[in-house]
Amino acid sequence: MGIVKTAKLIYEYARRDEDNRVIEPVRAVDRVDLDIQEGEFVAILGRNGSGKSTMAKQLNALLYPTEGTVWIEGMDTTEEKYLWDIRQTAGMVFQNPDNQIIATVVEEDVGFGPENMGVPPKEIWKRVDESLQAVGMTAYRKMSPNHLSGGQKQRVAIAGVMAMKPRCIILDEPTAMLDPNGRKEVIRTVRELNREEGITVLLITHYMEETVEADRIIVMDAGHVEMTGTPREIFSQVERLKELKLDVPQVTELAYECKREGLNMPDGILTVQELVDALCQ
Amino acid sequence: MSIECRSLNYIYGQGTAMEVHVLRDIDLTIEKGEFVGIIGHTGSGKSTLIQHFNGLLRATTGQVLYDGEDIFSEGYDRRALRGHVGLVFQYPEHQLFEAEVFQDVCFGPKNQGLPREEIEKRAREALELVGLGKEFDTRSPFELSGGQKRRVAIAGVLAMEPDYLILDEPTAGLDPGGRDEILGVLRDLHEKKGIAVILVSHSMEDVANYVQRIVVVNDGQIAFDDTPRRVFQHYKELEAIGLSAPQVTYIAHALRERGLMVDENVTTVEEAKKSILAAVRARDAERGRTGR
Repeated sequence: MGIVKTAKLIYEYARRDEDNRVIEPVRAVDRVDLDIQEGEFVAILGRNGSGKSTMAKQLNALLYPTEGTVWIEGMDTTEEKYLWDIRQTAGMVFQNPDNQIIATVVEEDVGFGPENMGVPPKEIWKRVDESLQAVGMTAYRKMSPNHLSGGQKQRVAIAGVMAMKPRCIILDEPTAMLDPNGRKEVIRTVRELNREEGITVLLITHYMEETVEADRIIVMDAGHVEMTGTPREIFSQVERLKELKLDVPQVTELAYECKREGLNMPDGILTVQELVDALCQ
Repeated sequence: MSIECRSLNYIYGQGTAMEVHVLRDIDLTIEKGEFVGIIGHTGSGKSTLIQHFNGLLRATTGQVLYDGEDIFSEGYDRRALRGHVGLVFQYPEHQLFEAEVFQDVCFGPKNQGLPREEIEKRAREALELVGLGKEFDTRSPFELSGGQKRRVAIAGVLAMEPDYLILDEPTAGLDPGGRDEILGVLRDLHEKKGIAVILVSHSMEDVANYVQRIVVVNDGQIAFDDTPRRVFQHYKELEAIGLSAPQVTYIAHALRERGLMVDENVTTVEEAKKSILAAVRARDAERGRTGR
């Protein structure tokens, strides 16, 4: 069993009218089976309302399944005794950095998680050091988070999760509110954590370029898993993705358009280098 | 008709320990009917700049002129100005509050004190402009998708019939479908209604695909002000200030380095495709002639 596993996961909520009467049940997540191995980098794509975030929130017990099961390292999320272990194993980073930072000094913010877990002070500081190092924010440790850029704040948020020593990080559109540099910073940080620390990463995003180096992409639509495969397998299906109201990286689209005009070109070009190599033989 | 900033300076918290010089000596004119993109990294001052365009912020020194008149001169009707220059904030759907879509869109013109018939006529038109038909009138804004909510919010500003529409990152957090929806609406407003659109964006690709002119703000000053083609020629300088060019611009440069002579200043997939096809065909013809 992988570190994150779900079986026939269903999540329903009730749509209510103004008088709080149930109008109809809405199925946000529909029979999802996931099996994510330790150390994998998995990107999750899907249009707004496809169920990505609702699913992610069930992976660290912020929401509980209506039907089906979620296991984090074999622990069933509905069993209350595992709650802290689950949240510690699978950390979560959200879209808006301002909603996740609570302390007035960077290093205190990063130490908040382990402090809450009752980690001894000496160990907390060690973890704060290591986490800030891992996201490249050591130089800012004494600063107020107010004075950081969006990308830096998001890295502090990631360090805060890292300090809890998770084995898996789930990031729900962590770059949606950032400028191009901030986006690059955050994605580089996440990739390094995955490669160097072996952290399992689940990245939910609307930016297709951020997914090209993932081990696997899962495409969700209407609550269920619509496609799954390597980035090359997924982005080879340009038409299918467009039907799902998704996009492909600009370089993939350009290669696809050139091929349609009769140029000799492999499917699923993902990087500038690949396109250049294909055109300049 | 124009919005004009003259030697505009904005200092936040002047005379306190928190004093920050946010905008420095900005000279900028935007004419009616333009489609302008404003780009800059977080904290560059672009949001502060656009809030001067309808007088939400008052310049510390310098002037903002609307049709040649100083909007902070005594007796100037800034309330009317806000009808001419509509501002859509980031995440505008958070400002929806009525129980029904149509009522929400009526709020702006109602506040302008227009007669009921006129209010409803404008709300109807504004919703049509953003592509939301009558079937949405009685829906709750909170039941709509992200892209739809945002279109309702934009309709709320359009119902005031502005000549200028300023939007602060209107596509942030939307999926690609929602993004195309919103940008398509803006393009139509510009082309069909002649509304000047000023778009603040972090997406170089979106800016390259839609606008006619890009203003780059860095450290409270205007770093570049030109067509997308010319601005993205400076991709190295843009990177130095936390921005970038669209991916296709990098592709074009990489191809030229490998000897395929495409136009290095392409900024959209369409332009890149045309240029690549022409260059490949020219190369293949050349190879055919020389027998290689």
